Amino acid sequence: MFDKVMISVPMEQFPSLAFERARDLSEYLGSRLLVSYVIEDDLFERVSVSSLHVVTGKDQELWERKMIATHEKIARDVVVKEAKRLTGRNDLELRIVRGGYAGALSRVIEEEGCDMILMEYHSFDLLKYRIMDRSPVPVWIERHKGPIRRIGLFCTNLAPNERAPGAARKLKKAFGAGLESYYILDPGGDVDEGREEPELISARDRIKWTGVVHDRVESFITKRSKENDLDLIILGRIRKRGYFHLRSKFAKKTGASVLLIN
Amino acid sequence: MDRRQLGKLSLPVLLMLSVLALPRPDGLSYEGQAMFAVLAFSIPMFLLQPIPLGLVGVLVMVLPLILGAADVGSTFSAFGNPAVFFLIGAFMISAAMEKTPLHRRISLLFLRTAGSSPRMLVLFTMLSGAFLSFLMPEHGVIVLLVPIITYVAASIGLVPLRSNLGKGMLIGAAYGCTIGSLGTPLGGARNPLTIGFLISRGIEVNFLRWMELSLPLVLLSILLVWGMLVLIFPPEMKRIKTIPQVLEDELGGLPPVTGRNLLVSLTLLLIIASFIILPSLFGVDLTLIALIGGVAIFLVGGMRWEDVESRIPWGIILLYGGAITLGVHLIESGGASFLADRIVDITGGSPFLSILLVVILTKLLTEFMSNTAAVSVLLPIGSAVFLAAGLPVEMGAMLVGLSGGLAFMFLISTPGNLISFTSGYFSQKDLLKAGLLVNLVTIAAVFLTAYTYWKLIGVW
Repeated sequence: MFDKVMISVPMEQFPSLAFERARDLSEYLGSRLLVSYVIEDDLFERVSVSSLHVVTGKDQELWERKMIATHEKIARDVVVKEAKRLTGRNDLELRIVRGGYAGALSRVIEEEGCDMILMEYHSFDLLKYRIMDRSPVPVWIERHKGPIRRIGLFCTNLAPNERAPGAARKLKKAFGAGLESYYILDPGGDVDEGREEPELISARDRIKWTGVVHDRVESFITKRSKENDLDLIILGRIRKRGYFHLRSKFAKKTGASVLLIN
Repeated sequence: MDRRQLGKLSLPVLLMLSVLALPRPDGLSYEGQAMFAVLAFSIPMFLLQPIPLGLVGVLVMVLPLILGAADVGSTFSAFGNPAVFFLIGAFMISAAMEKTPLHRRISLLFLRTAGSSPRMLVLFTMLSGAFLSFLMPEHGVIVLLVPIITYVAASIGLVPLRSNLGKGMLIGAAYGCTIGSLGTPLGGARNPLTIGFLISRGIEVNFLRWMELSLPLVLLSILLVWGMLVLIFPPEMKRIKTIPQVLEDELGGLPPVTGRNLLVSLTLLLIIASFIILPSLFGVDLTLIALIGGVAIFLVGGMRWEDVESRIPWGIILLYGGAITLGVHLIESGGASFLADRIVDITGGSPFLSILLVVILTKLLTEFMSNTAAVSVLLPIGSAVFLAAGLPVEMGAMLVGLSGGLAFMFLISTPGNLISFTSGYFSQKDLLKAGLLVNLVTIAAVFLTAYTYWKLIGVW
């Protein structure tokens, strides 16, 4: 899962924290790092729509061409240099991609064989999180600055739990962190079906549950993270409708980083 | 048209029908009420833009005819206002300036003047945008300037979204163009719109008079906004060692000045000088100079007819036509004076409150809709408020025209903000933070200029 990590650089936020975490992953787990700089087409489309009455199509075309060339320069000369400084790695790979944020990243994952996306938490543009639904690989949303000392693993009856326990154990060992594990039976899912799962996971992954609880996923994870001062929350990617914003909310509400595993 | 656009269209239509269905108050004619209905339709149309703004301009022209609030002759004769043709001439001149490397040379020379001081670099970025916006429409300038400034920022190694200097430079570029566009009638479509409106009221404002009223405000605003920007985003370095070399390389890389470029540049200079001198000394009309200037540029090889066709945003001409007819009909129907009387009942005709009200109202509106649209909506109302308060119409119209350009807070406020945003050097949050404070500062600057300087030079 951590062999080749892609760090995504959107046009609206420079992901310093994500680069710092990438340094840890590279150091502790030997991950190779790929920087993906996304030139977001929808921004240019917005300009085109909003300035149609004052800037002609020809001027927009010329301007867009110049801006794309400038962004390529920014990616090569500035972003990579800063990324090397923050990660302490000189062998970073760079991909400059154009398109919608989620679509462009999915393409890079497929073409470059990345097995995880590392992005920084961003409160201002939730659309960026569409990648959480589209990505074929786990997504790490970095929010916590500093070392990871406490990890919370949350398996639930709303999400697939095949890989999350293994990842949690691996990260616990790599970071030398404490691990607490919970199984949440959420009334929003099929509780009866999930009832047997805690024992099965426990036997399969040698996980000793800190607690098996009946509660809503959102409130339990938020409460537990705050009370126990968790630095990293690991959970399966919840597929239930209406939970889209919830996943990024964990990062917002708790201040912890979130690793979503499908 | 998709479902979302239809949804956006339904609100303006509903508002228009609601205003028409309301009982008519005493003292308001049917034509006045119908024009309020058109106003109620046009404001959300300008805000939501379910269709291109040029088409909104057409609807604003057509609706008074359908509602029986105006006749065909007065509607389309308003479209023939000289300022419309001034705008066409100004866009032709601007097209020529875009084609020459002159704008690039000017902006790089401005940046070089800043030396290696980061604070000065923010100031001179603003000044280069402001200066170019004296000569051509601000949106044309920002489209040219943003790639240059972004390139310079990248060349000196400023990290996008982390570098305060990068934020200051790119937000400063947008703000510099916005503020500079107030400086001359060439700076933005709302300036000729204001002049056109005043012409329709029998008041002439020539190039020099416009500058006399606006330039002190421009200079004051530039200095204040620069101060705010370096305060909000204090540059992370004391000196930029690499910038002299970067700018020298850029200037050295410009194509050599050819004979034709020199001729075009001289012609442009001559046109600008004519704008300033001829109307004041010989009473020559601004529109005449703009149109002859456009033809002269064509004759000296500054542009081809294809450039005229592809570089003039015809949408703004239609929007402009709609805007000017809206103003004329609101006044002729008595709607503007009806509303103004109610407002003066509240302000008591105080110059202090009248200025403050018009400036704040215009600033609020222009943050959320196209500058030209905001000015077109408020010109008749603002000037009627001043007239009812016993103050000069020129003052009311100029206040709306100038405040209407000052949009800073959001990406939707003006295309300039969005164009600069695509540099990737600042976030929406940064713009909001800067825009909020800069709005307060510029409201104070407009108010001070109108209340003190304009009084001093005898405007009121």
